[in-house]
Amino acid sequence: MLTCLLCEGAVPFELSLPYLLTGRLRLSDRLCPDCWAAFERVDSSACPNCGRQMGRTTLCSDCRLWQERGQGALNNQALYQYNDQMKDYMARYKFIGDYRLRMIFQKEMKAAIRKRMKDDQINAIVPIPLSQERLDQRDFNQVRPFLPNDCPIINALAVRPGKHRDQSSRTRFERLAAKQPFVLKEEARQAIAFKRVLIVDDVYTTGRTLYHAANCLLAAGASAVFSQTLAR
Amino acid sequence: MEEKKLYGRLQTWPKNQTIPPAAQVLPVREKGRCFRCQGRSRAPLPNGHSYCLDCLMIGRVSSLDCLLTIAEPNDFSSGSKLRWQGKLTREQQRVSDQLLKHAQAGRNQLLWAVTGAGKTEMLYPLVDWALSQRQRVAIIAPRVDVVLELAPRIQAAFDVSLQVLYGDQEAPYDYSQLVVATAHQLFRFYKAFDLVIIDEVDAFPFRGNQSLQKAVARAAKVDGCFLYLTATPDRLLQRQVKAGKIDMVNLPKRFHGGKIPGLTVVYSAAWPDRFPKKVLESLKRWLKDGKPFFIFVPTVADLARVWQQLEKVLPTTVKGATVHANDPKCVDKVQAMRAGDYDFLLTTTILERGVTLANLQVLILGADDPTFTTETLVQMAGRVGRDRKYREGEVLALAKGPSRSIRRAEKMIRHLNQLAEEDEDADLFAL
Repeated sequence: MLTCLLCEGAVPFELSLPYLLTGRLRLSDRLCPDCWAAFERVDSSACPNCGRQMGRTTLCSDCRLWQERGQGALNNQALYQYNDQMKDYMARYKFIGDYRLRMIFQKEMKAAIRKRMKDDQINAIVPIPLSQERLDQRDFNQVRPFLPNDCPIINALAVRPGKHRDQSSRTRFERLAAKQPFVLKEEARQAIAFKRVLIVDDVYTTGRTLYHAANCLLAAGASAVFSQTLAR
Repeated sequence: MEEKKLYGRLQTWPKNQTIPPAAQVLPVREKGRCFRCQGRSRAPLPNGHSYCLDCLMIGRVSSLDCLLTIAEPNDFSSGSKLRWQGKLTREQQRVSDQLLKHAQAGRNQLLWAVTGAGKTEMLYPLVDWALSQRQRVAIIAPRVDVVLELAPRIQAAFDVSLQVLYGDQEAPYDYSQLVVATAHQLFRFYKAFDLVIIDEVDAFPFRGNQSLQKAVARAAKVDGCFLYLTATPDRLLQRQVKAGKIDMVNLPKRFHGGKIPGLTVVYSAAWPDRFPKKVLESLKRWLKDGKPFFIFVPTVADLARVWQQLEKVLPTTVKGATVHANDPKCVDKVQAMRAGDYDFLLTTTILERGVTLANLQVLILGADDPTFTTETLVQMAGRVGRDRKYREGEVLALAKGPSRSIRRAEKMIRHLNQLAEEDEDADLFAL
């Protein structure tokens, strides 16, 4: 019997020809139907700048505030809404560190990134980095599995060394007030200059992290910055 | 990290961090099994490392980590710590004395007491003796709600440091002489306890869970003692008693002296398509007399189907609800039933234990289904006649055909009632 990677409940399993031939499970067999259904997609009626699901396509209030503060556009797109199910998924994937869970959205994220590369004429992809301590603990960057293998990935950013508090343990206000956590790697400066860059992260919450990353890249000479996240 | 917090613990620790000098380092895997949970399955990380899948829910243990422990030093004061001043009944006192005697002899033991016999209080003299000997004691319950209910009572009874441990806990761990925890928390201990008391050993999650049983064994010291509590010991435990490996203490009598009602088994090929006449008549009689009842079904999938059938055959004025393990309103519904808002509950085995309702009747559908073990059947029957005012009641079991667990359940109930009767005779002589 197959068990769901999230709730450990039973997954109804039907033999399929591909499975018989290759021994590989289908993606749909990894989670139970209830767990699949609990994820909510972002449809076409989302904020054009941050990807928040709103039922209309005008700028959301958060993004208007960002722009009043003089931030340029980020053009973030998200695949899913950050609901309880997505929170649970992130908790298991990132904080517990269940690396198997990358499979759930790997294919979709890769496809989304490929599509955006074409639509926005992207020529560099920058994943949001982890601090070294966190990477040592977790042994993987949660964004890395979402990137297509055959595209120009540039690890241009690094987290400033020093004490970092978990983003998720801060309040919204604290997060918004957080200082620039990223530095540009010197060796990547050339690779970023005059490029149209797509930043990839797992969740857009307040936007602070992504705007920091975007500012860092723009300062390094990127000609335009876009962003893609799994959830908003 | 304070050294104290490592006493008798299994702490995951990143290999690349400095290791406290007093700590003993244990491997994360041994002979192809996770050291912590004995599980074999693991999943790879991208850089050639791997992590255990079987104990992932209590935190990841990967080959990037090691496990730390410091041998339990029993750093406690001696002397009695009992604050409780209640009095045990004569019957409870007898059991309590026996438990203490066996523990002092260093024996593992089983307390077979029918539910509602006042088990917790009977443990106090034993626990107090252990604490006064500077022993470290763990009290393990199967579910979080039981732990949360138990902990304040025990804290009130003893003047000692007590730590409550369960899954989604916010408070950090601290070293304490007394630990009240859910079963899975034992994965985090290593040769820590001199006395381990396990409530409802025959229930989920212990039943048939080898890795948990091993974890329990390892959480105790090599010469540590076990006390198992149950109302329905499974065959394995009974066999161990017979073989003389563990001592048994019996308390077959309910506190009001009533008996556990026997199963009335109805065999019918009609189930699961429709209700046989006999069962329907009973249901209608219960409704007419205003007696509340539980209907047990084997699986969650049965709930909806049986619900539809019930809607057809029962009058529309009858009120009921369905309950299952993942139902967030589970507790509310039982509360509502207690308040008289419902005439019946249609439920899975989730309500087999720990629920007391006055004048309750029970119908078990598909009693021959393999999910209903002997212990489950006895527990379900044990829901009936728990109140002092209503000592009698009916337990209907609908089955397609005879099964081993039904037969054994009938036997166990007969056996318990017989023991209770013998007890009464003994009481008469004593008077």
